[in-house]
Amino acid sequence: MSLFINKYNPKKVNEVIGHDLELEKLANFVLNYKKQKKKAILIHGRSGIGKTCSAYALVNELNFEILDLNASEIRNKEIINYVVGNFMKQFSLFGKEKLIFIDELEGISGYQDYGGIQALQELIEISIIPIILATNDIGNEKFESIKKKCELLEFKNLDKDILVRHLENICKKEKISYKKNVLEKIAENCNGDLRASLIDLQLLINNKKELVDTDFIEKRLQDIDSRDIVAQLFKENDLVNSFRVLDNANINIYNGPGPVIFSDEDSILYWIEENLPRGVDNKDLAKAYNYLSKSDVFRGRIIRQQYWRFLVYQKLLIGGISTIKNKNIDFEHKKTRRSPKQNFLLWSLVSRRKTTIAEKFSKNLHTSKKDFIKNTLPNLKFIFKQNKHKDIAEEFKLEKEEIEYIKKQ
Amino acid sequence: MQDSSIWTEKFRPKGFEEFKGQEKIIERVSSMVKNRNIQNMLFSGPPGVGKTTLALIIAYKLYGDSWRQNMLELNASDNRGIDVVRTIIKDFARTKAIGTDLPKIILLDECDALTSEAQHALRRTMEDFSNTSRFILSCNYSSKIIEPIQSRCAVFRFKLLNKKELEEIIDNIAKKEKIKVENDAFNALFDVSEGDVRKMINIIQSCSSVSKAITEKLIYELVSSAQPKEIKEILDTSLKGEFIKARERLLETMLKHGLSGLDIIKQIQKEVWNLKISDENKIKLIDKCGEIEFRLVEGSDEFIQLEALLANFVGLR
Repeated sequence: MSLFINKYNPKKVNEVIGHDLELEKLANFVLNYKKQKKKAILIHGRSGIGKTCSAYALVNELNFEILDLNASEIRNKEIINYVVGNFMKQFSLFGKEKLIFIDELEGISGYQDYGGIQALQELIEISIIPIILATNDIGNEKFESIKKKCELLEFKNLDKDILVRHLENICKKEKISYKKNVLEKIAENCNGDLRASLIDLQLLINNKKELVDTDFIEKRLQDIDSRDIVAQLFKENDLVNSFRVLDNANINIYNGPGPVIFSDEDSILYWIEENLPRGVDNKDLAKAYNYLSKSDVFRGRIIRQQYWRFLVYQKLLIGGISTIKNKNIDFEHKKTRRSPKQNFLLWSLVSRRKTTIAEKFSKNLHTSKKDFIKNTLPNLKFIFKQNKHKDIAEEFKLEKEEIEYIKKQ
Repeated sequence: MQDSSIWTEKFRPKGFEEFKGQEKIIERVSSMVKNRNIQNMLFSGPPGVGKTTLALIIAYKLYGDSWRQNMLELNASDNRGIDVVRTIIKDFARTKAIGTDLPKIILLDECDALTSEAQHALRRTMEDFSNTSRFILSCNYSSKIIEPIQSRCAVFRFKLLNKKELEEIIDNIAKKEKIKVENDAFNALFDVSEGDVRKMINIIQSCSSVSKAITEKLIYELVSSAQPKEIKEILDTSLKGEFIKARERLLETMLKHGLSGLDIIKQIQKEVWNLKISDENKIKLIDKCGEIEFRLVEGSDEFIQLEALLANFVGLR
């Protein structure tokens, strides 16, 4: 017996469920490729709603030849260039037009697929055939540079009614007796994921010709928005439950430690950090931050020592927030306004400027950079503000920006 | 030498006669220079009393115009590691001086910042290259210099300048720069500079850019506005319980001035003493500063740690 997900995989465009608008745009992009300003199209949306099958259905129908690069293969720079190069050079056997499909874009690994993103970016710039890329993680910063070069096309979530209707159709085709409320339960549980609903349906039918109730079906967890996790965490007063909540959280640890910060700003740590003062009374604030601060210490140790067992403590300590009584749960959860990465850039720009200025002065003043910054720089600002800095600027060969910087001190 | 536009440099004494204060030291050092037989020396004393200046004068007197080639000037607080001693210093010390039979001079400023490994690496270097080089080390606290180094040096302890000496310096600058220093301004200068001549001259120069007549009022105004006020305001805002506002201000300040978490903690720790809170709370906060400074070193995100520190100020008043 074949799997429903294969059996009902759409072969033609009109068999695709619920993405008429998206398919029209996609077809338009491929067919009018020469007129497009951007040389690639990036389709995004959550998993199981039909991104890949839409692309394939379209390619089938248009009778294109397709090169599919997905996460199951190594996609580093050499391989991408080699495979794509060959594909472009080869004369198609049947004179078909060609198309490149890069699926599971988020799965390009920074280490194993070294240079992959860069190679794709270059490919997009020079390509003469349509490129379709797909991802279910559009917020991922890894391919920020690629995103800018692509037309973006969002595949909308499928709503419950569409799923139910589709499941009904399948039941009819398979001649299975069913109750509509059971199909509704399946659809609800899968939350718009069509593929998952087909798997669950087949599981429940279990080769019989009738659909039993859904009691034993596992709840399908989806990637929970950090916002929801934070909201749940604030609501939770029970330590064990709060750990459960955190198990679903994305607590990212990548990038190095540093002065202001720089990690994925979507990480739960930053959501909590931003919202803590709103959710916790002033009198408990120090206690709450203490947990966060200790958790961050473990995060730092993981990064430096690569000792991943500390991850347990990092998570558990955040859970400590649930032990604070009297939390305010009714407030709007905001995303961190620190914008960690950007701030770091800004920060290092300013501090680098300060160092280069100090370097210019300290040697001729026979003093250390540190001493210059601490003692001389604050006094210089007055002279500069009075616009009496001409001689100094000449003597120490200061750039225009550096003069401005000193004035602003 | 050309006059610098920075007064601390412009008015740096070029000879022993111009040097103010430290008479005994000058006497000994100038006779050493006269006999063209100098030792390894350790200058210790508070900032701005003439340690670097004296070392420079020695170099001018010994080598004349070629002093730059024959003197290596390193600031240990910028290059504090052992590889500086093993590479830069050794490379310089190895070769003979140019245009003279005298040994070269290696001036190691702010030596208290040298790690003890680096100091140990210096021991043999000082001996091995005694044919070609002499060391002048300067530091604020001689206790931070390891004993074996001290025992290889003639130690000179510099003292703060007295009021009369400081007055002479001020008068000299005022005369040459055609500015007028009011009587009450002298005391203000002694007060804010705490005997640190470099600091004092810096203040005079910045005052003079505002007005040719330097008054007590002007000095205090300038000095207080040279100090960053942001941290105090941030702490006050936290004490008032407006945490979100305080942390926004903190981030802004760090970004604007390129300050690191450590810079901020240092300032907070100083500022705690000026807050209007009980002594018990002050010591509690100092304890927190220490704890957070430790976590800052161990942790991954400095800002989270600073927030955790600020949270301790909330609700204290």
